[in-house]
Amino acid sequence: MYKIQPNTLFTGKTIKYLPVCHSTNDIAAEIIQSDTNVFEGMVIITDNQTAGRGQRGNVWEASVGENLTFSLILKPNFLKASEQFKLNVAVSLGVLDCLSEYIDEDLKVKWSNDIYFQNQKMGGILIENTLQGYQIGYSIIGIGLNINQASFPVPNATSLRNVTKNPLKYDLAMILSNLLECVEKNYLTIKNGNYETLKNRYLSNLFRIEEFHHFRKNGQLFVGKIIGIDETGQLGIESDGLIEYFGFKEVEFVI
Amino acid sequence: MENKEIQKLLDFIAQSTLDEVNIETSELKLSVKRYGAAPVIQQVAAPQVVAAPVASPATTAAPAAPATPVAAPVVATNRVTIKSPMIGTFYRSAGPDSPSFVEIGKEITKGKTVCIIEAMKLFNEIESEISGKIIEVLVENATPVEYDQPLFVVELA
Repeated sequence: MYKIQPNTLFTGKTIKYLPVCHSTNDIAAEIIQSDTNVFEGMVIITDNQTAGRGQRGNVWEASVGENLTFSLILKPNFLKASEQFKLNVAVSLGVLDCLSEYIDEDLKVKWSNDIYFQNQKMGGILIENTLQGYQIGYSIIGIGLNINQASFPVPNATSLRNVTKNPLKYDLAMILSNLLECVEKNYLTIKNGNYETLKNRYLSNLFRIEEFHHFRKNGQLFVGKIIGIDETGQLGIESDGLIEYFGFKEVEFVI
Repeated sequence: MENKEIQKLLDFIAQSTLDEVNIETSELKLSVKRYGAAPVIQQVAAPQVVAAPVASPATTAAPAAPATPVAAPVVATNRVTIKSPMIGTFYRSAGPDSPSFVEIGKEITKGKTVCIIEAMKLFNEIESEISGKIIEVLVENATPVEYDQPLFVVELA
């Protein structure tokens, strides 16, 4: 399964396929812990993730064999722990670039790294780093993308096939290969020190940027406009003429 | 002691890394203290000896007195803190239902994960760079931490 030959330097050259597993991020962490045969660019992929994780305590559910659920191991030693949002920008844009080959418009990154088509979620990213001192050691990039799944238990989720109404199911291996190429390209851009160009692209593809919408802060509803991000990745929202920067749990979108 | 011998001794001390040397024999008391680059020599009340019958046995360097005092707290020099390498939210466990990575009184080894710091939905396992025993946990679970904020006190193994 997943015999692919992506046109990359190192990403996806080694693929570990597991028909079933609890969480590809957990398997990746075990591989890193064992410290043997870890390669930068290694991919762990499964058809059936039984305990997929989202952010702390949240679960990621996907129908068996319909979607892409995998983890990519990177070694961004060139980034300080405090610069890690750059990695998030590169990976989010990589996913977006790949999907834009199938979807022309309305594809956005919902801060900080969910993939949205209009008001529906199509994918999620879970990045877990190991830090040694002030540097990043390994980075595990977990990506879940809804590709062929037709129906969802929640109303705010969708898949590539639902959006494009493609008569045939997509070839998961082909999309994976394409996705890895796109992620590596953006990753190499930050590695070469060209973060600013990516940041501008991230902002122009940010869900609800420069639009007035409802948000929630400490349970309180307010109207504001996303104006950008700061150097740590905090989200800047302007409300009543004042700009406030928020950490991830400090503000909630009302969708 | 001949002036020549004293000169030799001073040369020896000057070339050493010692900052302070005190030599005391029955016939001589020599105290040398280095201030910055130039050594300041002080010879105190050396009784005049007309004819020294035997060479002084104390020509070897005095027991190496501790060099300049190390700038360190006097107490608990074997305790160090693990600091946060970034701004974020501090978590003591992998998930809401998981046990804490470390507990007070427990030994940790280099490379052991001690906590998670989350920022913008990116999760960071903080690995200990030292081995020792956790003495104190300085931050409450699920609270914000600043760059360089001390998280744990560890007594070195």
